Amino acid sequence: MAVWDIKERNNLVRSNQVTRGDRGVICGGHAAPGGTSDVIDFIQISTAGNAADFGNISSADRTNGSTVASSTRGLYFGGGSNNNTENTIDYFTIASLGNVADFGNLSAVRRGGSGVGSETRGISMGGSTPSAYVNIIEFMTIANTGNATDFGNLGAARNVGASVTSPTRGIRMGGIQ
Amino acid sequence: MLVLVLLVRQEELEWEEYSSMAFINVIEFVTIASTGDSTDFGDLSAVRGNAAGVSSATRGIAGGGRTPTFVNIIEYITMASTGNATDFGDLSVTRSYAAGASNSIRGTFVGGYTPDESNVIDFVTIASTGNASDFGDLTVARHYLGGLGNGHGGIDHSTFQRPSATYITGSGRALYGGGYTPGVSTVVNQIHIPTLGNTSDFGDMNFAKGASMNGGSSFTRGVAAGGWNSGPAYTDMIYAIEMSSRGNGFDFGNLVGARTQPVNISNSTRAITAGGQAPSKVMDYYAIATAGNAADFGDLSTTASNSQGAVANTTRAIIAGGNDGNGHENVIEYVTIATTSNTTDFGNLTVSRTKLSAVDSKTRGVFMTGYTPSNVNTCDYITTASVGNATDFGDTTAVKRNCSGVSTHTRGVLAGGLAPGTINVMEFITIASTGNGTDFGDCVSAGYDFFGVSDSHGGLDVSK
Repeated sequence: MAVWDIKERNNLVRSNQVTRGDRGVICGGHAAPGGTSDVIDFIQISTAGNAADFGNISSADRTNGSTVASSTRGLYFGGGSNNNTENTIDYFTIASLGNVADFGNLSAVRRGGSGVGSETRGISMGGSTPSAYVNIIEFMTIANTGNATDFGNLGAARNVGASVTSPTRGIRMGGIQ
Repeated sequence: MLVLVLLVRQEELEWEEYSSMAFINVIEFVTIASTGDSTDFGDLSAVRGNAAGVSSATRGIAGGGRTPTFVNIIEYITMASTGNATDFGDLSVTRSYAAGASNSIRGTFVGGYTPDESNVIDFVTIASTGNASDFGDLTVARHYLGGLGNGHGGIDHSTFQRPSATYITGSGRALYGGGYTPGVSTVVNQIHIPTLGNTSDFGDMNFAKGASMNGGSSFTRGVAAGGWNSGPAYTDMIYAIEMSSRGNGFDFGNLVGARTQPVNISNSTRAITAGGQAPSKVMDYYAIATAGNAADFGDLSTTASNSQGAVANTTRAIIAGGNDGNGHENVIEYVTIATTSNTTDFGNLTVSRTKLSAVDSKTRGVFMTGYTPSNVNTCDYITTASVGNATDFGDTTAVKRNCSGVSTHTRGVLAGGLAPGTINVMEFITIASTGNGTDFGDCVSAGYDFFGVSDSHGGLDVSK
């Protein structure tokens, strides 16, 4: 009969947590002069190597969209081009290759927002519409589907900031206003 | 034409810009679990837009961007504090409009504009400082792309997530997946080895696959490589599934070469895929904890072995029987899992056979059933830490082949098979004794050539 040391068992499981969350996913973009891309690539972050095909976002015409992720689900939202800007939120299961599914909508069309978030909540900060930068902050509950909900406002209408996140804080850095 | 192209390129880059635009160095933050307006955090070292961000729970990093001149600057902030950014190093290629994707240790900067679309991926170690190093390339060079990682800084890795309300890692969960029922199946079913009963649904494979014989597993992850897909064709795909929570598996990586009917075996850290019909004497290996492609381990002693059985203890993998293309084998050979090498002779089975199954404890391996070229009910065993010929163990309840074996250190369970038609029978043996098989329960669907993995087989030191 085995005698279980609960602490050791816990450590074994927890050690597996360290290896979880090792996939990076890259969505859309401009692929060539005048061209847009619906390609989703993925990489194994801990292991250097080339990206491989993951699937496709819902439309190629969604350059400069934003992303948030839990440990299991990725969201790609907004984006656009000279002729089009979208409020679409796509989602996909990070562990499984494949195309996206519809999650819901941002409150308005937007591109260039900064995506931050935790395991449960994804937040869009700022961005631009076809006519102006915006100061809108809104959030999505990643495990559900549905439309984004108002969170608050940035200090000013701002676009294309870098986004970084801890479990408690979402931070945008620089950009244009 | 050149003028037109240049105008298009300029428009692509500036459609985010308006007449009153200004680059800023503002850093601001929100508290994710609340709602409210952003709060000032500090400043970047200079005004900059279109940088890519990566982060751990403690440090956030911005790389590249434009001022509007493209820059290679990388600088960082400490997430829990406030203050200005500090120099980290430089990107390997100066660029803007890149994406960031990170886990808690490493941040990657992906693609961008140089000013041409870039396929560059470079990376930094978040907790250190220094210049970015080459990582690899995108499939298609592009900019204005979105990046994410499923282990980024916003995911609290320190929080213990209970696998389930009733499941304890290493408690005897086994999964049977794929196989032929009679078409190539994606279904994964589970049993609790210490408790007799029928299989129940666990999840689905992300691709249909059969003939990936045996399976490897750590305490927490099951893997099965190679086989026959729904193409139909030989496959090099390595499939993985988390043992702790019911759900679907995922694509783990690829073998060195596609082959069917290889045998998979492991200890807690490394899996080995041996032989298979390509024909192949190749053995591949990979680390179970880290998704990726397999590497060459060494060679089997025979040139075209497939449909073997395999057992392991924590240090040694032992492969027996199979078909080398000229006949059914009685060869038993072994490798030390932590090294790479060709196999070494171990001994012989009591009956030469192929399409056999295997179960193991930390000290004993039992090879069960097979094809001679007729189905047999033979069970014979070896002591895994020694070398020598196999010894008669007993008989299964029927003559059959292409069954799938899983085990704890106490009990081995054999599921499905061909007898000669497809069967749903599960039977078990007590590994430490000798004796005949006893009814365990039924598979939900009759089938054969399932992969079988468990969280407490002989290759796992369950005393820890």
